[in-house]
Amino acid sequence: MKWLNFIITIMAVTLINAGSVMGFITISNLEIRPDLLIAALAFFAYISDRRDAIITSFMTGFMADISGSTMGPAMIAFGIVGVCFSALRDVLLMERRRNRFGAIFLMAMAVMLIIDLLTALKTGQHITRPYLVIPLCSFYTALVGAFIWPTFDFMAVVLGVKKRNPR
Amino acid sequence: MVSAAVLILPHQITSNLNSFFVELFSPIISLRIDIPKDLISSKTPGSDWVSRQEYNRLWTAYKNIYADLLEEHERLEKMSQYRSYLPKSGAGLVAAKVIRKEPGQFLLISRGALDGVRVGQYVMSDGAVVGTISEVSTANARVTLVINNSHSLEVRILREGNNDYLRANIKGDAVRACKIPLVSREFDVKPGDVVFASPNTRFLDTPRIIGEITHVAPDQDNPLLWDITIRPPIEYDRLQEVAVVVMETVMEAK
Repeated sequence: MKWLNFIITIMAVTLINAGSVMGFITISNLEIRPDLLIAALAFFAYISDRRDAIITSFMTGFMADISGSTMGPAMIAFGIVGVCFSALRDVLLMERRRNRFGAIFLMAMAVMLIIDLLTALKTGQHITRPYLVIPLCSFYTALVGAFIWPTFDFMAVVLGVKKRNPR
Repeated sequence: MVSAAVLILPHQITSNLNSFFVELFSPIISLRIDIPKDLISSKTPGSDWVSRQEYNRLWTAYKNIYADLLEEHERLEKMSQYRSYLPKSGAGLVAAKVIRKEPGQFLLISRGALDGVRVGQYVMSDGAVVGTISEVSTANARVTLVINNSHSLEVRILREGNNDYLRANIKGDAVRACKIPLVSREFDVKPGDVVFASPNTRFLDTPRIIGEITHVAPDQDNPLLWDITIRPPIEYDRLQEVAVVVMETVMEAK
């Protein structure tokens, strides 16, 4: 992995994700918007070897934290989910779009739930969002993630990702 | 290990990192894509037609002036009895740019402690109260919108033509409106009544509008109470600039 290229890429994704530009594709008053960092997490955790997957997961989580409002929850959530997904990589076939969609949907659900829980634990402020928000955000993230996966695939060449050999 | 340590560190310390990121990249983060209204609407403005935004602005201004009139009446009554000892200093407004709208009904604005912004101060847009300051860093502040469901604010309900205020508390519904809980059905509350943020000695010197009551029905859980819904006259997605009500001067804040 060319780490400087990775940092530049993930920084660009973070700025798009945190920027007001995303308001353009936000749906409804429930603020349903895709989380591009979760899509990036899924890609890098799947494509990289074990060691790189762990580092990229925590780094992506750090970027999610620093661009958000609370430090810590996203780093842990992204780290845990990324490591678990990386371990399951051998039994998953992400070449099919529907598989990507399913995997990113489940990852997004897990990440968002853990972040909400840890944020409440850290700040003591529990914001009860409507129940539909997390599933709908996860669905949107999965939809967008499944479609931008080829873009990440293209970026992998630039980033010099050391792909794991399938079993 | 590192992530656990960051999580354990107090929020007051780690939030400086978030502020640093926002300050560093605020020109990029605050970039917007706005579709020209002409593309959305086929109506053309004429002499007898105004946009919804303009209507809301005029309606808010009218209601605020009405509240001011009532305040002036009250003050006049007092003045006729005795002379005020100290003149009212008046509130200042600190204009701020909205950097971004954050999930969970928060706004990040481009003014902070250096500009006299403090936690608890009221934030307004087009004459209506949109929220209060919940976090402050040196150059930025986070606004909790009135529609946030963890946010409670003391308000007064007023009916036009009636001088009596009904005091209550509002809470957001986390989507687009606010609710007033725990108002007994003994009180006469109707759709069309207007809700104002209560003035207080530290943050607001006159009542300012929050919204209009759009729905009143008996509470399903407790039939002795009203279930009251308020619709703020502000489109939060389109907010680009707000004003923070600063009752003390910048020098005092420093």
